[in-house]
Amino acid sequence: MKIQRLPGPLGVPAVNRILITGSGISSAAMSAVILRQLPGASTAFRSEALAALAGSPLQHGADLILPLTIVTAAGFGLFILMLGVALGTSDRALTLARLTVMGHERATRLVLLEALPAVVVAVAAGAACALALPPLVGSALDLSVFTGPGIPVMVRPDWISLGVPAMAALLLAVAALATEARRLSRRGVDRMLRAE
Amino acid sequence: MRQTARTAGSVAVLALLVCACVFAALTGPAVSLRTRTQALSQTLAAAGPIIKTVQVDAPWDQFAAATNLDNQGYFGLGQAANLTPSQFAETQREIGRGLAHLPLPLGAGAWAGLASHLLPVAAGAGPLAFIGVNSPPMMEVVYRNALPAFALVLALSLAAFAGMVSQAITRGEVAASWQATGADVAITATSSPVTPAAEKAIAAVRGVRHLTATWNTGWATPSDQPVALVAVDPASSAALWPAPRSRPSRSRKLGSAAPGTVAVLASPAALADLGGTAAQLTSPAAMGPIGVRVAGTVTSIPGSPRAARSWS
Repeated sequence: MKIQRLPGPLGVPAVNRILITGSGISSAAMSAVILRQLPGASTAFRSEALAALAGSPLQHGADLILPLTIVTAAGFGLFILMLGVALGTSDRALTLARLTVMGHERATRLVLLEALPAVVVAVAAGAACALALPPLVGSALDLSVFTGPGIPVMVRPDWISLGVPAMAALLLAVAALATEARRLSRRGVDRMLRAE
Repeated sequence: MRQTARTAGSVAVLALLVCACVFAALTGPAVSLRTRTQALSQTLAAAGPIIKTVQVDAPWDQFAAATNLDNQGYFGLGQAANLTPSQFAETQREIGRGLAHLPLPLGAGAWAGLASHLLPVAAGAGPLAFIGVNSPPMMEVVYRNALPAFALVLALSLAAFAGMVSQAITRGEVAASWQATGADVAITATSSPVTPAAEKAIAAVRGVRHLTATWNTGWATPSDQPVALVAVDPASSAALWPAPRSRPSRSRKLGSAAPGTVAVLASPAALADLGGTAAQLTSPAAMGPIGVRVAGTVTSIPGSPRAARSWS
């Protein structure tokens, strides 16, 4: 070790600190070994430091509020999506019935083609807004209150946070519209036209 | 001052963005409704008077008899006769008043729809479309309300941004915990130095991937300023601090130290205390002195907030 070339108390350095990395290190096993090999040594586990940070009241509040915000926004988005699908159901049923009489047979594709472009545009616009927010407002958000001073916490575009809601909205819209198309097909043309 | 101005600017931008989103969410449906109303107005303007008129009809005999009750005819009803000009004017007024009090609801979606003209379908129609007719089927493009799409933009933006903030806080916590300890486990021997046997025993604990031994000591600069020195082996410390979040960043490439001196990475504070890029450190303990040459700077050293690191 090159460290041994330095001048220590007895001519060579006396190593007095050990830094360890690894995953799944057992605290109990490590403490037992330290107690046996280095009695009186102090040990600091990063997991404990992380748990102390995450367990602070402020952080606990953030852990509660942020997921709540995400769930509320997602629920609101889901409601809007379903409302949009529901509002257009009668019109779509009538159009589908007329086109079926005319010989059109691909109901699902027609329903998706008719309703999905608006959803795709909305998802793209939402993603663009979410991507624009971090550079616009990032410097105004001081998130270091959650982690302590000296650690800059930057809000960066996160593909998981962005992709999961967007993909969920798209998949839900496709599933809802496909289900609606199948239901309308089963209902029969005569009943749909009679309802008119 | 600059930070305050930047913060104020960012808040203003955020407020502007929120206003723009709300404006778009409110204006979109309004514009949509206006477009359809204009389309309806244009359609009605091109339509003939008969189409735009509420028509009321009744058998002439019954109508004329009802308006001429003063002259009794058969079965006690009025006698059918032509209307006088005054009767005609009175009839017009009564029908007008009656219609004005009547609600005239339009069919659901009948007036709000915005559709193109009928367009002939040249190809793609199924055989059923041609049964009983010789002409090709017709198609019209129908407008749909886009209100939910505008609101979906807001909901998605909010959900995604909240997720980004949450992820940023999580990253910051991990970085802060790394900065506090410097490793997953940091062991500081107080009574006796760490022996190779102890290192081997600790390295054998399940889950340990990398282990590096450091020598943390206190020294004094030529100006008698205390400075903490963390001596590490470059090879093992490179394996220990690979985490990009908190690895000390080197602003310059590591230079080579002259013989008899040790190359060090110094924090800005330590560099200021050294008074230059080369200095001799002394220790109150019976060791040293040691010549150091600053080969680079680091912003911080994980686990040792007030230390310079010897890259020995």
